[in-house]
Amino acid sequence: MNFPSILESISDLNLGQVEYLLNSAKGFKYNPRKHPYYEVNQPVVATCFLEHSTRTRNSFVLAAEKLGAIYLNFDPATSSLKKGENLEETFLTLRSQGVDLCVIRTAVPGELHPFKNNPPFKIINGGDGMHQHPTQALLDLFTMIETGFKPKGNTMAIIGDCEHSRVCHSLIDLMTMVGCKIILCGPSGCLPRQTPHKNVELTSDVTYAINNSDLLYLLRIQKERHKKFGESNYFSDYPWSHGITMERLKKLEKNVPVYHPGPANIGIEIGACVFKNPTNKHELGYLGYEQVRHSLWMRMAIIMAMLERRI
Amino acid sequence: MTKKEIVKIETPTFVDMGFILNCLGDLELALTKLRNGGFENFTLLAGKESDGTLFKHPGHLCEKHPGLICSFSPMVNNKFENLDLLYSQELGDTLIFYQHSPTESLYIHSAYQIMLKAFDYNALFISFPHNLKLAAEGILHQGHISFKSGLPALSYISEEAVVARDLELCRSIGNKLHFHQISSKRSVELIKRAKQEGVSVTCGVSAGHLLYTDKLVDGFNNEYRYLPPLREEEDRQALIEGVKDQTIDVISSGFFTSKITTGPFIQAEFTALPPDKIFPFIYNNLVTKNILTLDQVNQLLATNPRKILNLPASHKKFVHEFSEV
Repeated sequence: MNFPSILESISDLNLGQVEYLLNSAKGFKYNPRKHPYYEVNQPVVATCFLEHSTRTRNSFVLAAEKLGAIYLNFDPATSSLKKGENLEETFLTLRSQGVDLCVIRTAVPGELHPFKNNPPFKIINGGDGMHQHPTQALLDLFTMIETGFKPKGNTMAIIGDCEHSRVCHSLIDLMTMVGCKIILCGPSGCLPRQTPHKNVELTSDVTYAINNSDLLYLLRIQKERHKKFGESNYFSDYPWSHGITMERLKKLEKNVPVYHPGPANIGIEIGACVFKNPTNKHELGYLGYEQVRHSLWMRMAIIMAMLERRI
Repeated sequence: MTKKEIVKIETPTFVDMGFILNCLGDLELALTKLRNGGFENFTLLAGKESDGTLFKHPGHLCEKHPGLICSFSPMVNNKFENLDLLYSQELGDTLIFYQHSPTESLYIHSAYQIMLKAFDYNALFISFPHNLKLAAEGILHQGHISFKSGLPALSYISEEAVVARDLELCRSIGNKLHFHQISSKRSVELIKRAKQEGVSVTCGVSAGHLLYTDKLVDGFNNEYRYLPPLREEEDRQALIEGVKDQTIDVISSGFFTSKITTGPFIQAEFTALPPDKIFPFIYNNLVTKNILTLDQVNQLLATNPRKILNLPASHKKFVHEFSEV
C-alpha cells in the first residue's frame, strides 16, 4: 500500500490507508515487542515545534523512541530560524544531517503545503494553525473504536469553537470518511457559515446536540483567534450556554462519553465532575486520558508506515 | 494541440479608477503593465514609500511613460490632514476624497464629516468598503474554503455594513459617492436600490471578481489573495448581472504586486489581475462567451470612469493583441 510522503491533512489518506493505520496501531497496543523495531539502520526522526505543545510532542518522541529510531529534537527557539533562516533552508539542512522524518507544528495554516511537490523528507503535520491536525483525529478515532464506539451510522457532537479548531477540521474529514454523522455545536462566531459536508449538521442548541448524539467531543474556545471580540467578555457566559456538566448530562439522561483533545479548561467547556470521572469504556465519563494513552500506539503506526514508505 | 489564434481588438484607451501599489519598488513594472493594457489615465489610490509610509507626493511618476497620466489622491483621514495636498492634486474637475481602508477604518462620524466636505467641494468621495474591526484580520471569504483551509475568514458584513452606511450618509448629504470595488451579491442589491431611489452613487468591481471564485484559493494559491476577497459563484453571477444592468459602472485594478510568493498564503501580498491582463481575460472569458458585449466592456473601462472623474473624452485608440482561449 502506497501513502503520500507528507501527511498534511486527512484528505491525504483514503479509507484503506486509515484502516491500515488503525490495524497497525492495534497491533502495537496488543502485541508489544520486547525489543525495538529498529535495531540496525535506525532511522532519524525529528520534531520541529514552532508552537507550544505538551501531548503531541511528547507522544511523538515516545513513539519514535519505542520504535528504536534516533530522535532529534530540533528546537526552533535556539536555531538559525531565529537568525532569519527560512523553513525551507532549515529543512534542507536537517535532511543533510540525515533526518528521515520530521513532525512539524506551526502557527501558519498551510505552511507545509508548498513542500508537497518536493518534500525534503517525510513530513507529519503536528498541527498547522487553524488548518489541520490529522494525527489527533486518527488517534481519536482509534480511541473511540477501542473503547466501544462504532462510528458508522452513529453521531458525534463536536461542541465548542468549531470554526477555529484544527482538530475539528481533521475530525470532520475523518469521521465522515468512516460513515459517522456529526453535529457541530457552538455559540455564534464559533460555527462555519455553511455546513462543510452533507453528513454534518450545525446548531447552537447544546441540548439538541446532546440529545441527538452518541458521543460528545469538546473543544476549548480559542479566544486568541476571535479578533472581532478583542479582549471583551463575549464568551464569559460559555459555561452556562455550552459547558458540559454532569448535571446537564444527567438531566438529559444521556449516558455518553466525553472526549477532549486537551488542554481542557475545567469549569468552562467541561465541568469538574465530568473531568474527574475518567472512564475507559463507551459510557458516561471523561475519556481524555484514554486519548492520550492511545496516541502513542497510533503515532507509532503513523511513523512506521511513513518510514517504510507506506505513507 | 491546435495553434492559438492571435486576436487584435481596437478599443478606446482605458481609465483605471483605482490602482493600489503594494510598494514603490513595483512602480516601473506597474506603469509598463498599465500602458501595455491600453490605459491612458489611472488614479493611484495608495502606495507605500520605501519606509513603509503611504505616498504623500506623486513626484514624476509617469515621466518615462509619455501618454500615461497619473492622477494621485492622498488619503484624507478623519483629521483632514491632507486637505492641502488634495486640493493641489486636482483630478480633472473633480477632487477625490478617498478612504484608504486596508489599514485604516473610517468610523461613521468621520465618514459623515468627510462626505460633508466632499459635498462642499463638489468632490467625489471614494469609499473602500471594508471595515477592519468587522474583518477581524480575516483574509479569505467566509465559506467552505476558509473553513477547510483554516484561514481567518472575512465575512460579508465587513463590506456590506460599510456599503449600507455610506449609502445612507450619501442619501442624507447629497454628495457624489463611488465604491472602489464591491464583491458581494448583497452589495449589488443595496447599490441597485439606492440608484433607483436617486442616490448619486457609482461603483466598481475588479476583473478578477467577474471571473473567479474562492474555490481557486483551495490549496493555498497565493495568486488569488484578493481584497475584497474572491467570493462564491452566486456573488460572481450577481456581479455580472450588476454589470449588465448598469448597477456596476467601472472595472478597476486594485492591488498590484510583482511578488506572488510561494510561501504561506497568510503572509502573501494582496494581488489582483495585472492591468495588461484585464482586457484579454475579460474578452476571452466573458465577451466571446456572449456574457458581456464589447460595448459594455468599453463602457466599464473607458466611458464610465471618464464620466465619473469628469475627464474630457479621449479619441485615442489602443490595439490589444493577445491569444484567444
